[in-house]
Amino acid sequence: MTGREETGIEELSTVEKFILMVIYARPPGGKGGKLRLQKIMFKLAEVFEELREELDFEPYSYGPYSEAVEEYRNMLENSGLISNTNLTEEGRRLAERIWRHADEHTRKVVKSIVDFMETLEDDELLLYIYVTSPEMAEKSTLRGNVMKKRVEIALRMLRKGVISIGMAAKLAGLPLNEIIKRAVKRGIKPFEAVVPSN
Amino acid sequence: MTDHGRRVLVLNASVVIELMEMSLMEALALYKQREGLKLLVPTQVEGELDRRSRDILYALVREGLLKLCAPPENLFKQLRSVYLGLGDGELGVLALTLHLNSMGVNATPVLDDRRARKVAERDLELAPHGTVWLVKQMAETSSLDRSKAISIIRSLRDRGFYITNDIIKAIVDQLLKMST
Repeated sequence: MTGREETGIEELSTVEKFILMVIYARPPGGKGGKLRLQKIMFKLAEVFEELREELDFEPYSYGPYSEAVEEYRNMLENSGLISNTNLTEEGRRLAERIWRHADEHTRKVVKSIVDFMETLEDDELLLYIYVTSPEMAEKSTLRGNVMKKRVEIALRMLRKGVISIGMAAKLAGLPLNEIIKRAVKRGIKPFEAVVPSN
Repeated sequence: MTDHGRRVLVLNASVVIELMEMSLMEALALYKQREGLKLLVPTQVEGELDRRSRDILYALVREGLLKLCAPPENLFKQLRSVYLGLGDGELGVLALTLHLNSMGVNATPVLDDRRARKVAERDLELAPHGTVWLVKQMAETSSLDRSKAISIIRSLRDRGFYITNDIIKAIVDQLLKMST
């Protein structure tokens, strides 16, 4: 023991609490990393006004980037609550308390966004962001390469079951009829048939 | 709202496409008439179709078979912010169904996509139907010839459906029992 007092919830800003919740909600096998943290916080800022007010996302070379997110992440690291984008023991205890105190809607949104984005490979994550938030792709240095492979990437995501056929069409930039044809041709089965119970 | 007591089906684009491809629109019209249904398609679906399918969709709307309907924007955006893996058409179906149900309308989403169905059942407590259910309903109401319905069920695996032999057998058995 160093004798240092543990950080309390009330000492943290809204953004710091969200960062801790995002890391806490990461599913087993989730990829983590600063790039992903930025994209998750970007999506959360679309939902939560209190984050939007604090985080000023701008188009950077890898899509949306907020200096504030990195600053807050640094502050959490300096406080010994996280290391890179992983929770320390103290950070886990605090994140657990924050999670318990958060309302159900907040937990549901954070969990849903984190679950989705943590399962994506980097090119899948970037394609998703470039297509759903094109204004944030203006300065991206990887956009051209990713968009060239968009159909392949979208079909891979569909095969993995992380997106629906409708989202696959959107990411691939194809009409629904066309993506269905291509999926079927590759043996992907996005549709479910159940025995009707009337 | 004038739909209280009248059953409403909210169809997704992929279901409409499947019905078009399998030439089932006449059967759907008969089924709608016999059951006194209202068939809605969310406006988001328009943007997901190619020009040919969109023209067919508009023709079906003009004929009165389908009606394009926009879900409340706020609800749609709320679902889109949570279910990142779903497309606009699927989200439109879910938002429109939730909205109609909240207004006391008996609305059911008709979706085939596995992920969208999972969200509907697990998170939104909706009981989605799909193309298979629709085909069976059409056969049961004699809107569709039973042998054609069976042949459609047997072709689903080649049309992007995950369907086991047991499920095919169970559905075909249900169809065979219908008129015996």
